[in-house]
Amino acid sequence: MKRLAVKNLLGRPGRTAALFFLVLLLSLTLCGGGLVLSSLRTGLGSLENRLGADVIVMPAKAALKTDLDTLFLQGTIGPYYMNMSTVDKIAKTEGISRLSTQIFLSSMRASCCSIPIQVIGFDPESDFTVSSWLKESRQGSLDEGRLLVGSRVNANPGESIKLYNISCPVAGQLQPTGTGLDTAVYCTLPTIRTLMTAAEDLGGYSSISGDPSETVSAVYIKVKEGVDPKDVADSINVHVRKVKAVQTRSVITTVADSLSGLERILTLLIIAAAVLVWLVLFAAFTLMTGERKKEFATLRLCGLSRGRLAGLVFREAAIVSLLGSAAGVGLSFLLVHAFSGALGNALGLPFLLPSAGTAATLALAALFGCLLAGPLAAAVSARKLSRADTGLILREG
Amino acid sequence: MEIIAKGISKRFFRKAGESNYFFAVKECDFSLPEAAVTILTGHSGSGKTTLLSMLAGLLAPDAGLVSADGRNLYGPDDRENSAFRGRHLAVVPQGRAVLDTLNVLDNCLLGLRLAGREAVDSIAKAEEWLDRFEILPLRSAMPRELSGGELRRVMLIRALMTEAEVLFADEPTADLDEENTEKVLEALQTAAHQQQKTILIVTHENEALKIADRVFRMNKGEIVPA
Repeated sequence: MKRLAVKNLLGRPGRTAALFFLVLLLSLTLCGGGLVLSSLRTGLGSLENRLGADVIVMPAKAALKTDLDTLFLQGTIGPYYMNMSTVDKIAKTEGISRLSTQIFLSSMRASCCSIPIQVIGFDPESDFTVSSWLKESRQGSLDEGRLLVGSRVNANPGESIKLYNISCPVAGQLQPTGTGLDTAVYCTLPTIRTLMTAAEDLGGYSSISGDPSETVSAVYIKVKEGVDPKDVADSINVHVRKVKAVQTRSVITTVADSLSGLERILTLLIIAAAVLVWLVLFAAFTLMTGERKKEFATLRLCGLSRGRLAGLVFREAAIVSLLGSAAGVGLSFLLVHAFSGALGNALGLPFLLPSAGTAATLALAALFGCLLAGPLAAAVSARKLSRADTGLILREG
Repeated sequence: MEIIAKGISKRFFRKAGESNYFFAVKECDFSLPEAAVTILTGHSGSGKTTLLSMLAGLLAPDAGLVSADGRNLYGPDDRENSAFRGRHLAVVPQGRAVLDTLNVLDNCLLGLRLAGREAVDSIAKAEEWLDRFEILPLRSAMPRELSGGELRRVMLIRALMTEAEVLFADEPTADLDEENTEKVLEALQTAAHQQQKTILIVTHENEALKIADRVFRMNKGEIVPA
């Protein structure tokens, strides 16, 4: 019977290919859709972990020109700077537990730079946002002049990236976050200040005013336990001039809200597409009922019982479903992996592939669902076929 | 094995509706004895094929009973009925009844394989039959490559290969030339007389009457003397 099922499938390549394609589509919808949803959730989780700060303070000019979400999703606010004296004023605000500064710089699309890229300088001594990530990525200490690169930066440890005519060796590569942080490179404050000086010399940054050693781009604040980050942000906004303090929670909530809305739409779309594909699969099996009437009558003629006949139909459906769903799952992973960056950019949300365990669970769920879908779609046809009177079918000629 | 039909009837509806029907077979008593070739003739539409299907366990009668050696062919358990049919009854239907996804040899062995009775020498035996009916070179061909006469011989070999005690053949010599008609009829006669099989042939052809032990004629669903 197993051989007969395989021979039937191989003997009708067109029909088999059509069923295979439908199951593949179903599996692609379920697994691919699930992967996208899961990647968005993982991305949001990663974003929350990466930020770590309760309040971020940036130059007021930057806050006016930059969408705050951009800071979180792309990692930088662009070429806006404030003086270290401002940081001192911010530090005096009540309720601050930890404070760390970062400097942002963009490389140029010119011969002085290997690639156009965002450079983020941080202070390993005071940092509480990037360092934990570096630990997760198991990177060693970051010496002066060296860079750590994001997961989507095309440079390997041991190679060098030229920035403003300064060759910076790559010390290591970081774990992906699913955000714009993956396309940036990281270095210590002294390194980025050297780069800023070089950038100024090349005329790359007219907006860098004053001594690079006295400027920063953003201040990251962790508030004391029991203190409302809103109070700290409000206090800074009132008492410190030319800066804008924002709560990270509010931005994460905004991202989470958009994700939640998108999640609902995507879930509905996935369900609608899966139901539609399943209905087409059901229709395909039903149409085949008429086409295969004589074939099944021949088998009944040779002594095959109704049960065994239904078993043959189920076996064929199960084989096609197994192959189609496995191919669909494989293709889902391939496509989502290949286009994860583009998907994240298109959706404007952090996008990070889920862990191996979650991905395996999704794959198994899609495989199981599609393995059931094929035979389930064939069930009505199998029952109808097995009930048909052999003598009548043969009589019809 | 003796097949006995008592008071069997089968009616078909011309269109939907309880009153618009006709009897293809009407209250028919009939029997097929062992080791004999019974031939059933009659005009088209007289009910021959319907009667054959009912006797072969393929079409449940609306009334009456069909039994093989006292066993009801239409008992409540389909699995048992089918297994019995596969083991003891073989049918060569009038129309095309082969699996298009199997080659000629696999089609010839289909009945045996489904009954789980394929033996080591089954392929050799099938090839012998193919050779006897002059289609051995087509053993690997697919059904779509065969003519009507070649297909008919494949269906006959499939039936003969099962070594069932009862063989039903509906127009087994249709589409065959004179030489192959002779061979087929000879094979059926040998099966009846040397292997003690019960044979029912439904035919229009007078040629078949030469091997008949008993001849019946059907007219408007009833069996009348030939």
